[in-house]
Amino acid sequence: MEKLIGLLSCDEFGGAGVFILTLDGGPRVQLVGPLDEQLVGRRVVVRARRNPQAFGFGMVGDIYEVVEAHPA
Amino acid sequence: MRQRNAIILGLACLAGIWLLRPKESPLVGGAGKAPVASHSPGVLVFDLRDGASAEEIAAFETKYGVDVEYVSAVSEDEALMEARVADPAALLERLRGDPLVEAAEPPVRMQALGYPNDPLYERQWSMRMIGAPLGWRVGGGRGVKVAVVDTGVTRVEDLVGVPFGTGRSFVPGVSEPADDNGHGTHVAGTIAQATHNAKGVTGVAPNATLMAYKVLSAQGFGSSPAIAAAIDDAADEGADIINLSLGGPYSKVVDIAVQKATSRGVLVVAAAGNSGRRGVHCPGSLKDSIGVAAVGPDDVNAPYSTFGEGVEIAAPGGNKKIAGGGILQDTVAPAEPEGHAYLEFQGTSMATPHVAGALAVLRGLGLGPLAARDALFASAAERGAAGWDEVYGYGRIDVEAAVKHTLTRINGVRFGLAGLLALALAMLLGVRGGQATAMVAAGAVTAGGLFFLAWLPVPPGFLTELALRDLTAWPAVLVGADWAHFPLWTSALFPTALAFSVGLVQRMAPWVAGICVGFGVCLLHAAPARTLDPWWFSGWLDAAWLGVNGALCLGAALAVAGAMKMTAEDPSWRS
Repeated sequence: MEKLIGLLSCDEFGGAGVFILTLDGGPRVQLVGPLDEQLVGRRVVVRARRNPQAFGFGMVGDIYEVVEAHPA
Repeated sequence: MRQRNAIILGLACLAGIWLLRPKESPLVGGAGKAPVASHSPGVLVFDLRDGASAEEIAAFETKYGVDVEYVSAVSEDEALMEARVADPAALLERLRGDPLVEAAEPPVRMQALGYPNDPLYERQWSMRMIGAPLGWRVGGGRGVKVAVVDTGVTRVEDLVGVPFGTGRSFVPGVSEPADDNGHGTHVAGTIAQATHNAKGVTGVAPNATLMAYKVLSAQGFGSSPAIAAAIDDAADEGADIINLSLGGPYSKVVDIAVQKATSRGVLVVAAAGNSGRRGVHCPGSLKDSIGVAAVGPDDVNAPYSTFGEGVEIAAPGGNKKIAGGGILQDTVAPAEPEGHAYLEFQGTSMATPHVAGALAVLRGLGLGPLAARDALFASAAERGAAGWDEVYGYGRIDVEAAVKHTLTRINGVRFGLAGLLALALAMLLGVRGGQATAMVAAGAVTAGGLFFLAWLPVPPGFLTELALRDLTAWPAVLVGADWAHFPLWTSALFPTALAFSVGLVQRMAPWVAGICVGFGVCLLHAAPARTLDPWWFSGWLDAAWLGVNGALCLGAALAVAGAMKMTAEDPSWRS
């Protein structure tokens, strides 16, 4: 389990909305799981687990499965 | 007299070609449209007075009991509106003389004239950008098998009629490779959407055979073992090209699967990624795959497109920040009444199938996998730095340029070489007149086909496809792309059999000698050019096989021409 802090955005790739977290350090990761769309555009704190085997068509960065997310 | 007849025949052929030329789609060229069908019952279109106010429109609705809507977002100025009404005929009668109404009528269904007649082709900027129409004329990837390893593929309305081969699901608990997301079907449509079927949209290689592999769930996620297994299975089932519009972290099992597939002559095309940053995702980053970046409708790299080592080529992936800038295809849409919809998507996922389709067109011309890949890279439109760069790779794909590049550099060269060689053989043996002309013509056309037809307005069709190709590539049209590389076909077997069966018939001999020369030139040229890739062999054995058999073909030509000459001098020698 990791704690991630960054700016949450949502973009459309391949027909689906993809949640992207741009971490304060610079890298971008893809978030999947329970996320409130109202958090988009805000700095958030996310507790998530990285899935090292996951492939998908989002392709914005490592895929993290969200356990919990709230505004920073 | 013979010369006059030949000139008349030639002029007649040119006139025929001119008359049969494909008409530019009016949706592209701006010509007129032809009404071809009747109207939709219950719907009326109203052209109200330009600049009609909201109050006037509201009063109109109240007066006639209708609920009008603008036909499109840009029809407000013209006050062009439509509404569903209970009794169209009665309402049209009541509208007579109303000063607010400039015109009212049922919507007339229009159909585009010319090729293609797919009504939404107008919105497919990507097909025009890459020059897809020439790919359709030269076969559209006929017989080439393209595996779509994705969320599955569902045969939506506009995929009806497209050939489907083997498919399989590797998602636990899902037995069929049907699409429960929409991504895979959209990708498959860009590769091989039914084209010129008066419906929906077009695809890059509409005559290719699709193979549906489901490795991503309805939510769009999957695992490396499933992807590796699907790649292995697709290669086992004879896929020529594998499309991977997906990505993730580096995976050794995926890497090995891609290596195995490419070692068997399969082209693996994979998306670079949508991070907008450096660092191509796996499998696009792999040494053996073709990594694909995306450009938008402005032909500039899309802001989301991942760059760096591993990007080898760019293709239209769309940019929805520009109006109409997405990639339009028919795909599953469970919320829609008909279960499908024509939707615009964006991403390197959408760029990848443009490349897979382009490779299918080139493989369908009879090129081996490496020759097809090289032709696509060599003909790509420069977009970044000269040569390779990390944003566009070798440039943005250009199907028209790739086809012309192939036909000029391969068929054109063979056409000329075979013609000259046949002429030299005829001169060496003292064959003259009509017989020499027949030898040269047969040699040139066998080796190069009527490749120049690609520059003429010849309509697409089976005969055009055959005529454009050299004889060695005919099995790609008649049987399947791979059969052009069947070792017994890429050998001296056919020409020598022809020489022994009809080569001694005096009237046939010059034609047979020419065919032997043409076939031999194809094999000899293919050895260094790697355009033929005979099964069972690899590396230098390929070249050795083609070289030896090419030489045997020339030997057969020499024997036939020699016998022809001796028969002409002394008809009794054979007895």
